[in-house]
Amino acid sequence: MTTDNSNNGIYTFTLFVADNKPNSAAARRNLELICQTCFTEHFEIIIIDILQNFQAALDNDILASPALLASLPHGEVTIIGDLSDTQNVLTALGVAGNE
Amino acid sequence: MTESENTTAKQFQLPKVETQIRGLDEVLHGGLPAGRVTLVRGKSGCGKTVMSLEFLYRGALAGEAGIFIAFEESAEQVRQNALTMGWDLARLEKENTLFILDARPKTDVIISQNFDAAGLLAIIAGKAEEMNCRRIVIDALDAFITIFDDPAKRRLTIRELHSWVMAHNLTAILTMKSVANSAETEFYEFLSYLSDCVISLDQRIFEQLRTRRLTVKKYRGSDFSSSEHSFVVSDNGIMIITISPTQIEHHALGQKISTGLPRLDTIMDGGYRQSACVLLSGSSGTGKTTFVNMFAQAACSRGEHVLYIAFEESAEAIMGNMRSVGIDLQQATDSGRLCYLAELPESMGVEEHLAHAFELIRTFQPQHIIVDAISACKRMGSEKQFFDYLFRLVNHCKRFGKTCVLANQGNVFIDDFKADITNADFSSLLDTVVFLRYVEVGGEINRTLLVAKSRGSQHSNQYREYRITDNGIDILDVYLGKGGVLTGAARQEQEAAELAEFETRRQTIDVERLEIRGEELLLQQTIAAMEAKLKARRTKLAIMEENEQIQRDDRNIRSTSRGSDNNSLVLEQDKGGLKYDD
Repeated sequence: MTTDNSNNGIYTFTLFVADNKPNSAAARRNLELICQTCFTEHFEIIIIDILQNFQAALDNDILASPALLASLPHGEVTIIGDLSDTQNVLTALGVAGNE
Repeated sequence: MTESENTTAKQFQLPKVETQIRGLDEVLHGGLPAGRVTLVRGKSGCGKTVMSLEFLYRGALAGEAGIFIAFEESAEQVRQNALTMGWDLARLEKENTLFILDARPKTDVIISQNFDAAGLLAIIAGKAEEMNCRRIVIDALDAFITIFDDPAKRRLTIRELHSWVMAHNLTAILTMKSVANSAETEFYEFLSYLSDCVISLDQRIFEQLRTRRLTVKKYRGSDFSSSEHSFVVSDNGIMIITISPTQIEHHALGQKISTGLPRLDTIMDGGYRQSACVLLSGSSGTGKTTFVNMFAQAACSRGEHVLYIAFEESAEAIMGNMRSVGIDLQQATDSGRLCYLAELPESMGVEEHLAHAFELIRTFQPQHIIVDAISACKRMGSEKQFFDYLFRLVNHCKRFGKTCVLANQGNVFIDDFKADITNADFSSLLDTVVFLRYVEVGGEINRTLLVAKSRGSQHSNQYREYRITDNGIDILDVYLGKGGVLTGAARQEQEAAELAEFETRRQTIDVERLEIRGEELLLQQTIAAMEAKLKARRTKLAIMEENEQIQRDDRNIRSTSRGSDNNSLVLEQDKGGLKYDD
């Protein structure tokens, strides 16, 4: 679990990973990259390993992994996958125009 | 030493888990392969979900926790569907013996490249450990794998799932909708290969009635019944009706049991026999229902249980009708000994009818089963289904030593009906056959019965007349007059005619006797008269002879006194005699 920057960030990213499996590791890298390039401040990343905490996955309806639960000012978005197609991810997060 | 050798030789079979689904363990020769994967496939709506859910439900009741992963329905839908079968899943969930995971794919989720099912497996693994889960169902696999586009990815995911199940020693059912296209076939073959047991469910509509079938396609390392089995989804889950026991396990005919009619008992040398199949056949109004209800009443009053399968009337109607002929079944039903199962034949298929009957036979434990009337079973579909129902019902009854009394609305003419039942090879199952028959004589209809067959006992082969009275059925004496059997008014007419005939004969004899007597008298009179006449003539003759003698004597006296020669004297005498006479 990694927390970056401000405590009351506008953007909260909860990433559900399965240990350090290839897809999960890639997702973690991709998320960090996206955050650093697009959300210079006001964001928070929470990493949850579902192999350690299945209840969190259950509570959040996370059945496929990796999965990103993004809490945005205008609502919530769930993205499944390793987040390698950056453009799509940014579109989904509503920040495509910024970059 | 020898013991261990024996066990190794014997126990080459895989350990199995009983499903407790009625009939399924019999088909699977014990149950599903323990700690392995079973694939249940079939078209939409053919009972895959119910069957797999029942596997978990029965397991949970027996203390084996299970997880149901619903890919197609919400947990709430699953609970509601279960409730229609009387299964309270919420209670089991509270007791932590059942867990329903709503795993429907989210529609608002964005897919971004590569992902796997690790989340799902993590949840299942965590839950399984928490609950000490032994059973798992994935319903349906095809819905699950649609989230992966790539066939290779699909196979990989299934493999992961499979090895995970095996590693955790869970007994799993994966359901899969069968759709006829080549991609699916390929995937199915892959799944079949992974699964140790494959069960195929099927449903057909025939004669507007649904028939469900179950076939075990494969069972690695085990025997199984490979034939098609019918099954139903009843109000208490799945019930498989095994087509026929692998061997005939019929009970031997048991002791004599009363027919409910003392005189019929006498005719049949004591009555029906326990575990026999009795057919009472007759046309409408011959009193079949009265006969079988008298039997039921008698059995219930002996403390036995009777299951009455009514296809033509409701229980209330039967009881009302019986009351009008003096048979009160209220006590039998109140005491819980008589149970009516009244259903319209056309309301469901053969399997469902059988399932209902078998379920009651199992729970109610009757000694006797009455079917009124089997002829109505034709309305379950075709002729074939009629016999299908009967064969299986009678076989089931014979297997469990139940007496089966079948009322049949048959042809008036015995020969026709005999042909009817022998055609279907049904007659071999029948131990006793009683024909009820109308006989029309002298413009009046009367009823007669004939015990045409009664295996293992002597019986009268005479027709008996019977009447349906205010006090049940009354069997009359055997009538042994001329011209065969007679009944009713014709019988009375015949009796009167015979009496009159006898009277006439008696009178004729009397007359004859009198006439002869008269003749005798007349004869005697004639004889007497003739004798008298004869006597008279004899008397006359005697007088004449006497007179003659007197004259001769007179002449001799005269000639002797003259002293003349007799001859001259005679001559003279002749002359002088003439003179003398004058």
